[in-house]
Amino acid sequence: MGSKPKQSDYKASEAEKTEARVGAQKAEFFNQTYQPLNVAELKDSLTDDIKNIARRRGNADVMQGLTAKPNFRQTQNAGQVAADLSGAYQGQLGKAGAGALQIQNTRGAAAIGVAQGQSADSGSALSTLTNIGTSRALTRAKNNELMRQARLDAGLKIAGAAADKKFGSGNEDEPNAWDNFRNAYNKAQGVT
Amino acid sequence: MAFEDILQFAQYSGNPQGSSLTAYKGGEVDPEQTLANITQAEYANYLRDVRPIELELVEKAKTDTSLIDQAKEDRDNANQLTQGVIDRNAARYGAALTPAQMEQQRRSLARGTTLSGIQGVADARVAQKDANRALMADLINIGQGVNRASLGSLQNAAGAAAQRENSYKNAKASSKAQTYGMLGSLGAAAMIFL
Repeated sequence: MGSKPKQSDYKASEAEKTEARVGAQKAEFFNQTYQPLNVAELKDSLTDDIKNIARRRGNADVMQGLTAKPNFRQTQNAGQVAADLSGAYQGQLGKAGAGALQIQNTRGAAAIGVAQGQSADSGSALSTLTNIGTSRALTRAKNNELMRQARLDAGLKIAGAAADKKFGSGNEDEPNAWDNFRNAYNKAQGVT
Repeated sequence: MAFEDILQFAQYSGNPQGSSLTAYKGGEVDPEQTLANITQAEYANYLRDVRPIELELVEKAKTDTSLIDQAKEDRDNANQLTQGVIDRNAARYGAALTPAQMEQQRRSLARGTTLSGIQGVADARVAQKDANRALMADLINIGQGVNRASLGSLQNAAGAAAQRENSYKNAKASSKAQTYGMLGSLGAAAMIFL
């Protein structure tokens, strides 16, 4: 008769424990350090800071380019100068705004992508969890089935032994009716 | 991650240390429960911090008119700003303009501002369409990735469920076969015996 399995034989090895401990610590560190950074990046991408910087720069470029060196001639052709200045001002600010919006959108989408990448990793983690749960449930079901069969076999063996004692002849050379029945059953079962 | 979330999920996981997502069992890290805690916490964080902004970006990609609005505002401001520059320049050189010149200058300025305003708004419309389309394309790409990942998770779960169901059916069939086999053996034994 085999001995009962010991739970201690199925304990995680030191390497497994260390791997789990280090993995958990790294995950904690990521959650506490990098995840807030990504959220901050996402929120920052939506602010108008970059737009304001770009517009200030555009405005400065126009003013430096067209009004840094005033001269008398400009006062005599003020209409054309004003039209040029107005066109440059609007054009430059338009380009600054478009560039800033592109930066805002790109940063926002990138941060969303990173966040969704995390979610995708969580999805993978969920798959891993499902696998762990599945293999565990299967093993449990198989073990239960094994135990049920073992109990039935054990019950039959005990019952057979008790019947042998009660109804058997106790002498193999002179089998009685019960011995004959038991031998026939074993033969039908393929037991020698 | 906010401390409240860590605390909430630490409590959820029944962690006696109450300060992290790491779960313990028998004094050692419980990797399965820890993974479950982190997965749950990440999803909760995503729902709280990212999803509202994500939906905001999707809406922005569909409806944003900020460039066009800004171009119109700049057009309205340009006239006043340019007039100020011209006036200061004239004052600097003491240029005296006749009323006719001043009127002509005002008209020229108004015409120039209007024309550049038209061009500015038209350019802004094109730039706006470009920006919205680019943002939408980025978001759609992200959405495709999310869809692939979620379908992968579902396929995995469905496969596991099918595997469980099949195993159960196999076990049932095997048990039934064993029972019939035993009954058959008993019957055969009875026949031999009789």
